[in-house]
Amino acid sequence: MSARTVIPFGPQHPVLPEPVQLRLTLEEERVVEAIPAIGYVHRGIEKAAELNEWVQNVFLVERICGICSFLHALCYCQGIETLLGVEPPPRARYLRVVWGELHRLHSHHLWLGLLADSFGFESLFMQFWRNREMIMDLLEMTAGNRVIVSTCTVGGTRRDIAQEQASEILRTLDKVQNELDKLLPVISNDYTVRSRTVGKGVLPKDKAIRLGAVGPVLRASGVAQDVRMIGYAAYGELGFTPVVEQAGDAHARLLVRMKETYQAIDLIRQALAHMPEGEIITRVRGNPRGRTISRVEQPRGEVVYYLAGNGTRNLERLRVRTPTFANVPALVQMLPGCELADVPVLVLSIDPCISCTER
Amino acid sequence: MNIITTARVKSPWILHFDTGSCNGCDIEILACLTPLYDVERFGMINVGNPKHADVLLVTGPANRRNARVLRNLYEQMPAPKVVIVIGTCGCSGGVFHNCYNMLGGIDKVIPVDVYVPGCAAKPEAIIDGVVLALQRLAERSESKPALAEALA
Amino acid sequence: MTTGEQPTSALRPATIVPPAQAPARIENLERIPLADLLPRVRAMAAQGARLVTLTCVDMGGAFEVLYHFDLDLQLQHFSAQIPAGDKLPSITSEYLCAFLVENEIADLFGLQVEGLPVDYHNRLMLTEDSSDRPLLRER
Ligand code: SF4
Repeated sequence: MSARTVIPFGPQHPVLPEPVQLRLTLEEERVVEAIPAIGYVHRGIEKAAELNEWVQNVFLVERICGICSFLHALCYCQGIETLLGVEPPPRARYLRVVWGELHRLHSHHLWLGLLADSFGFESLFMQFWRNREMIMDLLEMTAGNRVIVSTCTVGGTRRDIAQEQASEILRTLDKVQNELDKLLPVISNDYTVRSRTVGKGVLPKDKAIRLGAVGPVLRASGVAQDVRMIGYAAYGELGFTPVVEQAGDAHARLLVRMKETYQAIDLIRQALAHMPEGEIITRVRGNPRGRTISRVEQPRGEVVYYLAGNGTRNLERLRVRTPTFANVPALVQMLPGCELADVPVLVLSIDPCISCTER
Repeated sequence: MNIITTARVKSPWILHFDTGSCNGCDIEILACLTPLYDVERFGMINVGNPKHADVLLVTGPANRRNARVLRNLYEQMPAPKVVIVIGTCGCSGGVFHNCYNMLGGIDKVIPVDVYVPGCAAKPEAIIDGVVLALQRLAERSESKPALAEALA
Repeated sequence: MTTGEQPTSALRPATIVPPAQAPARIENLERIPLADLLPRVRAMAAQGARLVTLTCVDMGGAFEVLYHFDLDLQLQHFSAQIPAGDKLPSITSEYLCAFLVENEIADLFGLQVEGLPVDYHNRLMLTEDSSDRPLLRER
């Protein structure tokens, strides 16, 4: 038996924008065990949410994660709406789809770039990030801010999308799709991309379910599960089938996310085309009572909120289970047997968002 | 400006560290490095090694576990160095002011030179902040104590 | 590009909805005694359910632990109560992925979990100088 080495991967590592540590036990070049050490960005949002009033919490949960901030707010607001027994107006539900899918689009671009960066494909990284700026401009145009758009609120949305803005969105999406068409062959056939991802970190279907994987990781292993299928917001009224891949390796995860960018574009087009006229917000009265579970599909997978209210302005308990928290066990199982040089690619292949994980 | 200062200010190397931000500001920093905003035209490069860096970009309020890592990174950077805090939550605690695991602003842990507020701070604001910090770097590079510190 | 003009209707909502009468409840929630927990979890595993997560709630003197499962996007929840000071049995023998959330509960609530494969000894999220068991309710 050869000697074992323990290598700390992180907390400050060039491929990780965020601090997380993996303690890797190596035998020669192969990983035999990986233990995650987290807590570097634990803030205590669940407690702060009990101290704040429930209205203020919208702004707090948006900052659980800056990349999918709108979807956190959406999940929270849907939960509070259930507790209060109110329905958002139809137009608001469609607006939520538009902003939600814009977030997915920019998040996937971000991730596709970061993955390319993790195996040193700089030009691909830059290309994706250049295209992403078009989407960021759309967010800025419709919401006034690039990252934290803060347009979702309890009862509906805080802003509307005017007709000219809608046509601008459609024009830009055409351009984005054009650019994606150029990059799709690179993602699926390029020699570098394939040799770094095909067959790496295979997660079979039954294992993926048992390990509680969610989102693109689960779908890349052949499980057609997407929370959007339960039809929250306006998804029930839009044509939508989840993207599924069978191989279960890093390349399959890459393809799922790549295809989901097309899907997001399609969903935004549909939502803008079918958007009904009318109010965008229902005014709410009273305080939340009872408890409920709220689920939303984020770019990284399913996010689950448990909300309990007791009829006062403060919530009794807010629990947030974010997608990366669910995907970490899958990652820990994927790593043993791989080579040290593949660790960054595999870590990125679950699209880790540490600030979500630790809240 | 002597030649060393010129060299420093014309090609400042950046180290980025996240101490508990929501990622909003981190991705804006990355956006600065990519084609549209492209801070590399000012000679800035993002490096992974604190020993090569002149500028430390910090996002997020200091978390208890992270404070130690942050202090380590700061101490490993050679003088003269400047610290820029990006985002409201790193400046003062911001939206996370009442979270139990937070120490508050970054200035509770290490000295800060430039504060860039905004939630999330826009790339333009970040670039402005870095340019401001470079003036500091130039001053520091010329002053005697910094030289003494660097030699010590 | 500029930010478009906002229609004024955004500021004047017309419909005012009175608060709901009955408090909201979680569907498919089953209360089970702690002794039944492992057999029920095993049954869920045999059906191929996915463990969504665990939620711990401090009830003052006791904890309620909710187990959320997902079977083809249908949620099923079990709720078990455990007096403070008792040890919660770990379900990692069935669902290995629970080790993170069980460690988190041990960390944030001080609820001891028995049979963890990887034990972080209450240092998953917190550090030595963090507040102790921060998610407990103040009484
Ligand atoms: S300032 Fe706001 S956007 Fe930036 S990291 Fe902090 S919470 Fe996130």
